[in-house]
Amino acid sequence: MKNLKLKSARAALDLSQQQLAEKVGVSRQTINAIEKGDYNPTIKLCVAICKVLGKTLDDLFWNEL
Amino acid sequence: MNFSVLLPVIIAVAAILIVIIARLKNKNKASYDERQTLARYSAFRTSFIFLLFYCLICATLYILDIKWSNTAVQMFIGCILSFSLFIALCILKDAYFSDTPKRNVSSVIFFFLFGIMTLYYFISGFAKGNTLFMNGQISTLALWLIFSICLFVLGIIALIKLILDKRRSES
Repeated sequence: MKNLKLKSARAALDLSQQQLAEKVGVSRQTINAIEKGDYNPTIKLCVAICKVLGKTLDDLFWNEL
Repeated sequence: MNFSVLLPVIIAVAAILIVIIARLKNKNKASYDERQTLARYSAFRTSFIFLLFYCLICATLYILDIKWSNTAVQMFIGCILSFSLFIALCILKDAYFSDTPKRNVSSVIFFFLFGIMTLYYFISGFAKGNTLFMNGQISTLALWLIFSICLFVLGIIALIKLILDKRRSES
């Protein structure tokens, strides 16, 4: 399942995948894989992404059923 | 095995040792994130299972008295194929290249240069009168051909992946 919340939060801050990846300390491909839903990140990476984007875990990674 | 056969092996071992020493000293250490590390473990498992199956097939053929090559060549072929499979899977899963573009390009150059070198050894062996098959068995000359093909395939995969990655990062 695609993570559109992450994509929109990143776009809202006008950050590219590369820029977000550099801030978080991962590769651009990893951010791309998370946004596409191909990879489930660890809680550590989720928290790092949330801190950079100024969002909570619920905002970015919680899916309403 | 004569010196011309051993020389590329010595060069390859020396290159690996240099990389290991450089890594131990933390110089130019490639850093992989969590997804890449996971992908590398997965690729390692796949190539290890491939090597196990390969050994199983070789052993079965040996028991059945079907001798297609000597043991050393069989093991070298298995190592080359499984190692190439590991690298190919890592490249395909974006877990081979580091973040440094210079290093990515140099690894592609390495594949092609080493591929050309092994192809040269294959052709020079051919010119000396050696053949791919000796007494109905694959000779050591075939190793260079297999190694060369693997390196060129890896080089092409790496090159395509680099171009695609560059396009995606630009877009």
